[in-house]
Amino acid sequence: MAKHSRGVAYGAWLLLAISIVALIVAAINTFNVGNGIAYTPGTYLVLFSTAMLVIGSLLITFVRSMPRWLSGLIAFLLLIDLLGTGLASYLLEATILVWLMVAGLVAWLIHVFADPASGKRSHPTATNREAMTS
Amino acid sequence: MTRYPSRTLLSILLLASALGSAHAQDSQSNDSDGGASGGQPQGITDVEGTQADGENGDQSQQSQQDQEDQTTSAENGLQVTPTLKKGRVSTGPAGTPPSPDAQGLTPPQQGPDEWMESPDTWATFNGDLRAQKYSPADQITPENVGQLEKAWEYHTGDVSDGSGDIPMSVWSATPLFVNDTLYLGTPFYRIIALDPGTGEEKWAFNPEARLEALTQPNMKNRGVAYWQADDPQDGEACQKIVYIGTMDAKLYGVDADTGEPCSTFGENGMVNVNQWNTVNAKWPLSLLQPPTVYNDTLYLGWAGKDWTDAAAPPGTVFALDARSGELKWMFHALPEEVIDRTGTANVWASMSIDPEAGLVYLPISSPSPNYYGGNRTEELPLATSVTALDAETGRVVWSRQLVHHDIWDYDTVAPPTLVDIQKDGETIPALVQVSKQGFLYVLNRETGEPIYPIEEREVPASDIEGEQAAPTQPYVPKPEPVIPDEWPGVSTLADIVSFGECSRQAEKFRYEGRFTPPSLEGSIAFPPTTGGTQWGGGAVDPNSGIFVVNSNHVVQIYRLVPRDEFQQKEQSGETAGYYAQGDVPYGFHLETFLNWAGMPCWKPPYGTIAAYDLKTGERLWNKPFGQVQKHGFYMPESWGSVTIGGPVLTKTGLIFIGASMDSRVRALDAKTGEELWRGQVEAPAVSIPATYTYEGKQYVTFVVGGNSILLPKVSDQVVSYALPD
Repeated sequence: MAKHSRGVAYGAWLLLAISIVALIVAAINTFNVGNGIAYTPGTYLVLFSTAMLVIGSLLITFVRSMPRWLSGLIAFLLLIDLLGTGLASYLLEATILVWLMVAGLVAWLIHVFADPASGKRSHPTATNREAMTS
Repeated sequence: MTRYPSRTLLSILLLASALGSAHAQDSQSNDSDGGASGGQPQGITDVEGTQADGENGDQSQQSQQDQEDQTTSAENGLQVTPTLKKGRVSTGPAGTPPSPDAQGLTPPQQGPDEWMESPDTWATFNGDLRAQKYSPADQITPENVGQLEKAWEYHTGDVSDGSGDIPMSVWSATPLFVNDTLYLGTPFYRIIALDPGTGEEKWAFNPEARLEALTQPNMKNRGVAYWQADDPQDGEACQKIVYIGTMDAKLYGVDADTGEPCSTFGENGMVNVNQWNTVNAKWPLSLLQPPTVYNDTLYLGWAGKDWTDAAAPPGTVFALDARSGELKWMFHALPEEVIDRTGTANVWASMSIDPEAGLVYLPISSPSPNYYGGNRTEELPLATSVTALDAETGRVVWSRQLVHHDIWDYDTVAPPTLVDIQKDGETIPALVQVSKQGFLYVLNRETGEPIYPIEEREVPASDIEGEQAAPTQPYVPKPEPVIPDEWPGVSTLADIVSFGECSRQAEKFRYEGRFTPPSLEGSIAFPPTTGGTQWGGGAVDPNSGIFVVNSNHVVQIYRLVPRDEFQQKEQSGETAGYYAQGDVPYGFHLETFLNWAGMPCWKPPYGTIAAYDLKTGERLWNKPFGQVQKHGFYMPESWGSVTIGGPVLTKTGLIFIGASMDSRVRALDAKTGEELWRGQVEAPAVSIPATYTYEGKQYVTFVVGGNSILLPKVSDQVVSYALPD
């Protein structure tokens, strides 16, 4: 993965914005009587999954010092969440949410391939050790 | 009087009674044997005129016989006249008994009421008396239907999800538009009058009905009926009346302009129909379907429960005076000699009427109990039939049995649609009878003769001790049945999800095609009690002869349970669970063939809608309709949905229909079946919509009530759509 040590994590920020909008849309879908899907297990599931998306996005946006393996795990879980929420939204015929998940996928790709590195390595490399001792 | 003469007198009376009874039975037997059915397969039509002609016109002898047949009921003082196919008519104080020399079609040729025939109105449950569900309104077209928007919405407040004291509501009313007012009946048996342009409430009538599941597991209603005098007098009350029935057999009549009870109708606006429930009266005659109105007469069937007991109230249809509620006649579908062992064969769906011929057409249901017939092995020709009565007297003019010895609950479920067919250069007065068993019976409505052939085919025998399944059943190869002959087979997806349980179960069940009898190991029923086609029936364009009908593709398992093994006493649902079938050797278990996850074990589609050309009998198109919705998730459109409710056709070639599980209402192109518009509503719109024109604007109005058979989702919504101004 290409990483930059410094700079703005545009992908993470974009994903955070998208997931917040998705959460609002999911809440409307869940509680807006008359849309055909309100108060169903499906909308509760999507409400939960978009809430998880928001939490995950918050973590990758603001917690920059987490171990690298953890940031990788969160990125992986975010991908699963995006795909799962997208599929559930498709089956709920919640079109806006489907498009938000597509946009979220793009943001995730930006985060993974273009955002600055966010994790700490678990074991310092030889180069880092030299730098620390010089 | 000494003891000895008393005993002598009693003996004489008993002897006379026995002779009279024997004579009556003999007469009924002659009636049947002497008709066209003698020596012919079951289901062949009897036509009164034909019968008389066949007897060399010996009318005086026939007349004398008929006069002899007339007896007086000891129970209620009504004059009882045996009629064809072992039916009987009891004539009430407001009626005229069938003339002894009645020959074939001798009804009064009344013609339709003007108010009912207006192109702008939707004055009956089916739009008109002929059950065509057709509107000549032409403002909404296939080109502009996409612009339809909600004109108004109304909530009745009469809804229950079953969590409280009131059972779940099942609301399937057709809104009536007539007298510049939209009339609704609710599942709590209130009548509500609305402004048809705005949905504002004009008045409401509350009979304070009992809200208890007396015969049905849910609070059900299919709307109201309307009548008006030929020449209504201004300022005089009850020249126009709206009627609603209740689950406890009360029929209310209120002034259509004010909602005030009509004091001249029954007792202070109420007729207690249960007064005529005198045989096996184990439950009230529930009036869930509004009466059919014609010629100042209300034609009234009833609903009950044909799964709890074998001996149940026997099927009757009442003709009441529309003004006074007085009984004109009462038609009995079952012969007297069997009513201590069976019952029902009633008319719980709506009826249709040929106003020119003066005939009322009855969709008669199966006898009780639903799934075992060892208690009723004799021929009951009017059960599970379509039967034409003289609307004036109740006399059977012709009848055609659609299922012999019904042990599948294949009630004739919807009114036949009456339409003239242009065929081979001729205009044929026809009817189309849809059915749970999936056949479309196209008959000459004056004679009952098939227009497209009906074949008697051999069907599997029952392996249940005491049961005698009929050796043959009527098959209709053309028009093509609405569901295929063979069950769809196991769904691969459902089988994988169930780790092969679906296919293992399927191998265990008995299946030998249509009409496989119920068995101890369980029989695959396709179609089962849910149909096929349900009470919504079909719609026809009388100009083009295009007939549209929605249908279900459901697989259920019919399992008889020997009485000593029958543990569970409570019925657990309307279309699934245990059914006592008390007083016969078997209880019954009904289940829909699902896997552990609730997925249907059979291949989709689960519901379709099709169009037929009645001129040729060809099916024009057949498509999956609606979508299954589970936990909020919509399944693919190609799977279709089970439907309850019916379609409406307009002159511009549009089909309006709700009915599906997905809580949507739709407009389809009648030429192709393509969906042109859809609206979202609060629950499945399990009803027949109404389309009408008010102040120059065409409206399409849906009642959205939900039905626990489809989903545990209910509503009290009425929603009306129109084009933008």
